[in-house]
Amino acid sequence: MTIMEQAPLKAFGQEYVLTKKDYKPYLKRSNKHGLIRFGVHMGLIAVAAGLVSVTLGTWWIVPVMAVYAILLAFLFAPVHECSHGTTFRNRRLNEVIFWIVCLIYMVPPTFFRYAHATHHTYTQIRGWDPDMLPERMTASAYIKFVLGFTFWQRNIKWFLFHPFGKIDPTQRYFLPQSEIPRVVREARIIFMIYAGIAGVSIVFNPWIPLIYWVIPRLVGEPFMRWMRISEHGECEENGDLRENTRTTYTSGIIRYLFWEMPYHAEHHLCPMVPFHALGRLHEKFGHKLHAVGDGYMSINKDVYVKAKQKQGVTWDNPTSSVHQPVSQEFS
Amino acid sequence: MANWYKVSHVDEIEEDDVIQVDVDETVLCVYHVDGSFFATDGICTHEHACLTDGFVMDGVIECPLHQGRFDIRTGKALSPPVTVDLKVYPVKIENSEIWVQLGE
Ligand code: FES
Repeated sequence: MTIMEQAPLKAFGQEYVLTKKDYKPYLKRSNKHGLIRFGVHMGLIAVAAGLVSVTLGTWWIVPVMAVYAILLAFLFAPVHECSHGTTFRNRRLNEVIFWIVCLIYMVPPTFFRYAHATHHTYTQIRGWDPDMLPERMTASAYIKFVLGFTFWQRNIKWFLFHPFGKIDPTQRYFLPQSEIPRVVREARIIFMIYAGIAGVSIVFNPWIPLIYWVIPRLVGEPFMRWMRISEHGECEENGDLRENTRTTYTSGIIRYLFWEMPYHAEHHLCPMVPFHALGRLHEKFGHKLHAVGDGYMSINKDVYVKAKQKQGVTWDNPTSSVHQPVSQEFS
Repeated sequence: MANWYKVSHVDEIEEDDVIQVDVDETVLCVYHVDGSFFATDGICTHEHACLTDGFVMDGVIECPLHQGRFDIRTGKALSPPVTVDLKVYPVKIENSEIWVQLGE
């Protein structure tokens, strides 16, 4: 029996919301939707970068940098969509964009893809889902998450250790043995690219990558953490995707910039559906979802208050009897 | 010993679609692509999802669980997270009936 076959449960629920026949019309892939969304997103980033350059040295840099950093943080959306291979009809285009956004966002593509696939298989099944909030989450653990400490701690470990073939033993279970050389090779390529950028900028102008990339990534990530906590935070810890994953109502602008990911339960229930069809999917079966949130602010408030009071789902379900192959980290 | 099994009728599978057929212990997927019919193992080689719930596009079956992709004609694993090829089976059509050959 492989380690994956020892899991007590897998995520489920699609059969309760949609028949296979109903599902089919939503699956259609298109290059057009992906190119427009990616083009608009990168265009906004370019405009914001231009504004950063003209406001440098003035107080205006504070709000402008915040906007720029948030736009960069939203690149998590194409990272995620491309990891599913659903951004474009053309798979090669999907993979090229996947690499580009992973490099900017600072995640390793293949490793992320496997970790995320495992998050889909074992959504909210403690010990198996690599993306869960920590067990018995306290207020300080919540703050650590939202500030991005956990994210950077983990990613820096990936970038420093994977090039040397050192993969955290607690994360090996979701990586097929045959893929380890590929993960190591990718990590080495990324390491060399980052080292090259560092080298060139030290010689010419070290401020450019700091101002346009590193600082905004650090500043923007807490915003992305704050939004992403809503996806599963304080949702049931069981396999039922209607209960363990949350769709969040928010503004059209946020939905656009987040590539429709606020329809998160729809995405988990139907991961083959491309981002541009998730809204239609919500119209189809949104009423069957049990976890629907009214805005990121109220969800975060709920998660934080429960963490502070040492209550809520992360405190309710002691899981000592469950096999624990993974370190509980949030990607 | 190799045997031929009648698994379906050509009218029962729409173009660019897949059905699941169980022959004894073997779970098969039977596909209709570009006017031809093909058969592969029905279970994904990554984490055992049923490929019949997957998406057929451009001669490729995409797994419903993690969107791993296989070439329907050759069974070749095309993109992660799938790394192990799918087994493919010979198919013949006789009197509009679809037959699949199983066994060595
Ligand atoms: S189960 Fe098929 S790609 Fe993972």
